[in-house]
Amino acid sequence: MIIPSVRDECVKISSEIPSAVFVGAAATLAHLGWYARRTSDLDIAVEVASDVEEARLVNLGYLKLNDKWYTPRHRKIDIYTRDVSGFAVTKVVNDSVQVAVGKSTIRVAKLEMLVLMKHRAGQTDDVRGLIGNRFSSIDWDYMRSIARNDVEVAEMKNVARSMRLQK
Amino acid sequence: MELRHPELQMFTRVQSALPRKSAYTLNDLAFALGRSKKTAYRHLQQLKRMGFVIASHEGVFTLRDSVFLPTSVIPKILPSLLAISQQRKLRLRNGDRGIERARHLLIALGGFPTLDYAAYELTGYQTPIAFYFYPNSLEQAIKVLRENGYVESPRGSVILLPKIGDFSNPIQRVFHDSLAAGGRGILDAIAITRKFPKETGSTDYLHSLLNMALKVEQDMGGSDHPVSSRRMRED
Repeated sequence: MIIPSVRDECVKISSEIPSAVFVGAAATLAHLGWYARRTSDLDIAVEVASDVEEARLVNLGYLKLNDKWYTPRHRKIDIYTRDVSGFAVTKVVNDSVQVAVGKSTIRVAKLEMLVLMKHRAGQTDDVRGLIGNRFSSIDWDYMRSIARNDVEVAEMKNVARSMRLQK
Repeated sequence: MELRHPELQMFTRVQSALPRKSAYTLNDLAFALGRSKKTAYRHLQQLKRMGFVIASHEGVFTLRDSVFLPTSVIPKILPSLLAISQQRKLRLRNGDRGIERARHLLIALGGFPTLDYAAYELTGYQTPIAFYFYPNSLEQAIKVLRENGYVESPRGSVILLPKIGDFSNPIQRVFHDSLAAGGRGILDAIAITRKFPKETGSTDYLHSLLNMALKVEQDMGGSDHPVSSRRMRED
């Protein structure tokens, strides 16, 4: 089965790139109990630039092909060093949460931030999946504090309302 | 399956006026159309009948983003939309998804798998999470699954669809179903059309659009440039 190998891959990437915070598919999987549709790519936000210097990554066995990075296990990885869907990487890293994966841990984007990232990327399936499955864990005050405006939060609440999760 | 003229008119208005959002209110729809809330409600009911509404409660609703596909494609995906809107979801009584067991039971009964698993088998692009299946007999399939410990549940991952429309070209059907489902289904549809251009070529406009996108991508150096790499270089 493919899903466990993503978990393993996340753990390996975390050990190779210590400041990596997973966003995108890996973060969605972590928040949804490692069960969600996804492509094979992984996205990470990295605050410590030296962690992802080209020479260092090449030394670790990472491969750069047509401007795209691949891990030593041949998985494509997008590395964000400035911002992700309008969130500064510093903020993504500071607010990230630790998730246990077996005996190890990885860091992933906070749930509310991930919902907004998915919303801004137009990935409505993932927005519905995250809100539908993790509604009771969503801190709406926190979401309001990081959203562009109240309209963005209202739209997320409307997703919950359409699913009869919120009055 | 054809769109009647009033439906087409309504549909074109909605398509051209409504912005892409994760969720809408009736006020959003009324404002976008420049019509009353009552008219917006009628349009919403029409969109529901066509299968474009995913969830709706007290005037708040979410739409499949297939609603924004070119109007020439819409008649081709209407049977898929209708089937998806009449889906029956099941899971095992103990709460397990029970996908593997259901797959064996259902394939033995006869029918046609589509969406997640079928798209994954065709393209290997996105991992599947739900098993969508058009059984030859919907009632028989539900009966057999019930006898094997399955119950109907809104959270079920075994999803049965009534056979509506044409199934003579299996790849084309999975392609149309993926387009109709919207969201990640559109990604599946693009992957299918890249791998099976002949089988999916009947949706002319979309196909030519995708070919143009591929040509631009190739002309620009064989690949798109991920933001991350650009940013890494800037750093």
